[in-house]
Amino acid sequence: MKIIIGVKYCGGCNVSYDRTEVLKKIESAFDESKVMFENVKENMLYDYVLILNGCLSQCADISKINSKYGFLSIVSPDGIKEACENIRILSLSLKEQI
Amino acid sequence: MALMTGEQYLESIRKLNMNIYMFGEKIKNAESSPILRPSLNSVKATYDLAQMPEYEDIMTATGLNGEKINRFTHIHRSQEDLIKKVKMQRLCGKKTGACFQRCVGFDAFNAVYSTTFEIDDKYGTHYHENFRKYMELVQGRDYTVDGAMTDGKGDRSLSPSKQPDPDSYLHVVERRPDGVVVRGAKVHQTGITNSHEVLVMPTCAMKPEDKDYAISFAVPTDSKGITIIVGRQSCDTRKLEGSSIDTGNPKFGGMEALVVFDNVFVPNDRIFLNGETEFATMLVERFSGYHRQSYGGCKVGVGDVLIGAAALAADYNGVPKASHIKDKLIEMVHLNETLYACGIACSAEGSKTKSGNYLIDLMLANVCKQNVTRFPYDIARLAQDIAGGLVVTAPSEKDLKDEKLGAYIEKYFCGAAGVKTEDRIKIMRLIENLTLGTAAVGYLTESLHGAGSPQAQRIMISRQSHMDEKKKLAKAIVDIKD
Ligand SMILES: Cc1cc2nc3c(=O)[nH]c(=O)nc-3n(C[C@H](O)[C@H](O)[C@H](O)COP(=O)(O)OP(=O)(O)OC[C@H]3O[C@@H](n4cnc5c(N)ncnc54)[C@H](O)[C@@H]3O)c2cc1C
Repeated sequence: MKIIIGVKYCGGCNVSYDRTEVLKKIESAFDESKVMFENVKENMLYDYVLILNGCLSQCADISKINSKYGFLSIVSPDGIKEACENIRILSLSLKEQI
Repeated sequence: MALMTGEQYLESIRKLNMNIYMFGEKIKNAESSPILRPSLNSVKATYDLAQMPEYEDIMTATGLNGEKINRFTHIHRSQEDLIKKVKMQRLCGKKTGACFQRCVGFDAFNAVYSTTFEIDDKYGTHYHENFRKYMELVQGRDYTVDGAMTDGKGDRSLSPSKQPDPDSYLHVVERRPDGVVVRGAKVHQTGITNSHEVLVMPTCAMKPEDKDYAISFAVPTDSKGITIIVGRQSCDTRKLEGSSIDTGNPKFGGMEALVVFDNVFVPNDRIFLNGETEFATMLVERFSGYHRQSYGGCKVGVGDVLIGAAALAADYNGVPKASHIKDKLIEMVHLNETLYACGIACSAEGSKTKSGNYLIDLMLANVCKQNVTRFPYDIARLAQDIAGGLVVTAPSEKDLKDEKLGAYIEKYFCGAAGVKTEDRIKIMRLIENLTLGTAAVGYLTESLHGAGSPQAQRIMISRQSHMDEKKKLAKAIVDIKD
C-alpha cells in the first residue's frame, strides 16, 4: 500500500529556511514507491499532511485540508527528523493493519 | 482563466496596442526594450509566484464570485486579508528587489469599492454596481491595473478649476448620453506599460466648482487618445549596454510614465464618480491610506534584499565580524522591521466599511508611511557605509572582462580570500542600483513622495491625533478641573 502525504506550504512571506530543500530531504528518506508526496488539494483525504511553515507564526491555512492520521507543522530544518520518524511510524502501523 | 500564468500574462500584454514613447521614439514592442523589459519581468513575477504551491497561500485569495484569484485583484474581506496583503508585498519585494507595480491598482480597487458604495447610498447612483462588475472582470481575467491618481497639478497653491490651464488636472470636457470625454494627464504612473487597464481617481479634495474634476473611471491602456511617455530613471541607459553586471539588477525593475488623456471616451458603465465632489476626499484618503500601508510591505521586501547585499559586501570585504559592521546591520534590520511592524499594525487594526470590505487603520497607516519617508534613506546610507567607495567607482563589466584591464581589476579590487572579484563587484552594483540607480527611484524617492509627500501624512496624523482626549488624560492625573 502506498502512503500519500499531502504537502502544504504557508505563503512564504518571510521564511527563515528553504522549505523546498527541507521537503526534498524528507522525500529522499523514503522509497517513492511506498510513500508519495504531493502538494495538497482541497477536499482530498491524505494519510498525513506536512505543513511547511516558514516561521514560528505558522500561518498556513489548513482549514480545507483533510488528513486521516494527522498533521505535522515544520518551522525549521530541525523538523526533518520528526517528520521522517512520524512517517516511518505511520507506515509501520499501516502495514500491520493490512 | 481567473489566474493567469506568467506566460499568459506576457501574451495578454502583447495583444495590447499601447501608444508608448521613449527617447522621442514610438516603442512598438515594449517587451523587447531592454529599458522596459525588467519592469515587465517584475509584474510577471506576481503571476508566477501565484502559481507556486510555496507561495499560493499568500499570493491568492477567493474572489467576488468564489473563484481562486490573484491577491493583487482582491477586495479585502477581513483584517487577515489586510495582513496577508502586506506579507505578499514583502514577499514580492524580496523576490524582485524592485517595484512590482501592481500595488497602486490594488489599493485603488479597495478605495473605489467602498467609496462608490457610499456615494450610491447618498445619491442613489449606480457607481458601486458598475465597479463590482468591473472588479469581476479584473478578477476573472487577472488584469494588472494602473492606479492613476496624481495629476500634473500646475500651480500647487490653486485648486483644479482655478488653474491657468484647465487640463492641469484631468477633467470631463464633454458629457454624452453614453458616457463622458476626459482630457488631462496622470503623472508618475507606475507600471502603466505593463498594465491592461488604467483606473483613474481624483488627486485631491474638491470644492463644488471643481465638479468636472471629480471623476473616477477605468479604461483599457490602449484606448484611443491615451499617450504614454516613459520617464527616465537614473542610470537607465546602462540597460542598453548589454552588460548584466553594470545594471545591478539584471532581471527586475520598475517603470513610471506620464500618461496623457487627450479626449478619451469613457462609457457610462466604466464611470465610478462623476461630479460628487465631496466624495473626492473620501476616495483620496482611503486610497492613500491603503497605499501608505502597502509601503510597509513592498519597501520592506526590497530592504531585505539591500540588507542581504550589505551583509555580503561585509563578508566580501573581510569584515563581517567587526563590531560596528554587525551593529550597522542590526540597525538596518531594526529599521526595516519597524516599517513592517507598522504595515502589520495598521492592517490588524483595520475595520469594516459600509460596503463590507476592510479598511486599514488610517492613523497607523500614515505613521507607517511617515517612517517610510525616512528609514529607507537611513538603510541606504548604512548599506553604502558598509560597502565602501567601490559602490560608486567600480569599473565596467567590459573592463572587468578585458584581458589586460581585467587583470588589474582582479588584482586591486579583490576582497577577502576566496571571494571572486566579479562577485564582489556584482554586489556593489546591486547596492548602487538600489541606492543610486534605477531601483532607487522606487526604494528612495518613491518612498518619500509615493502615496503622498511627508507633509500629507503629517496632516492626517494631526487630524487623527485626538489631542483633546490626550489633554484630558493629563488633566485627570493632576486634578485640573475645567
Ligand atoms: C516613483 C514614483 C512612483 C509613483 N507612482 C504613482 C502611481 O503609480 N500613481 C499615481 O497616481 N501617483 C504615483 N506617484 C505620485 C505620488 O503620489 C506624488 O509624487 C506625490 O503625491 C507628490 O506629488 P508631486 O510629485 O506632484 O509633488 P508635489 O505635490 O509638487 O510636492 C512637492 C513638495 O511640495 C509640497 N506641496 C505640494 N503642494 C503644496 C501646497 N498646496 N501647499 C504646500 N506645500 C505643497 C509637498 O508637500 C512637497 O514637499 C509616484 C511617485 C513617484 C516618485
